[in-house]
Amino acid sequence: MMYTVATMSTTTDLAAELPAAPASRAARPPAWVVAVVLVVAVGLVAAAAWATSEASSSRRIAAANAALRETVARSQTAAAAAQQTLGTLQDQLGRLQHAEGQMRAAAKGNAKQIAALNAKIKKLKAAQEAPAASASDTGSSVVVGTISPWVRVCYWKPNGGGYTYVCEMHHV
Amino acid sequence: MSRRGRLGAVVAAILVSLVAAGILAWALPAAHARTQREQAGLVLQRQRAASASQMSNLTSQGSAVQAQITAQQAKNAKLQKQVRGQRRQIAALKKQVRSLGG
Repeated sequence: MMYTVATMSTTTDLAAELPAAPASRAARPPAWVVAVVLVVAVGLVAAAAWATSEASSSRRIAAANAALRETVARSQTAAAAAQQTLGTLQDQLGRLQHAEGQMRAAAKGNAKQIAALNAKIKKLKAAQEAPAASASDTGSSVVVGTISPWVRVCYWKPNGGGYTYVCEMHHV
Repeated sequence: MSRRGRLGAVVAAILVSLVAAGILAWALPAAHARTQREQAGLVLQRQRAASASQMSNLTSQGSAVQAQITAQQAKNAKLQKQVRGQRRQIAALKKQVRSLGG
């Protein structure tokens, strides 16, 4: 009898504790909420990772662009200087070509002058070397001998600025 | 589903939508900016290539003009020598003419 009472007492205690179990199950969030939270969290982590990667990549591109900009600026400056140098060289070449033209003209004039002076000298020398009678009577014939029926006629023949003493036999 | 459960679903959907919209709102301008930087980089690379080509062309032209200048200087020196010789010859010939009484 005593055992029965004790059993009943135990059963009564267990029944008093029963309402606690449904209360803890209600406090736990539903599975879909947990899933949504997990998705959001994963999304945020992925977005943060992507953002970090994007920012790093963007910084790298910006640094590369800055270096490129500097290189381009230096290259353009060098090209401008080279263009100026080329212009100077072309000016110098133009001056030299102009000087060549002037010197060629001078050489041509000098050659003409030299030719004229040479002709004049030749003429003067011929005049000095020619016989007095013939020099003063240039071109006229002088009969210097006769072997019948031939007559030897000599005269000074003009020859390119000078004179040549020519003798011919004429049949009478 | 209970009323509370439906409310939670709506809130969760709104939350997910907000997070997605936030990510898009932040990501799209960032992606756009990155694209623009990449395009600017391409433009700069083209400019660098053009500058290098221009520089190479100018250097080549400069070398050619320099060679022409050297050749022209040699030609001019020869001509100058010729002209000086002619002047000396003219002076001598004039002297000879004077001596001949011309």
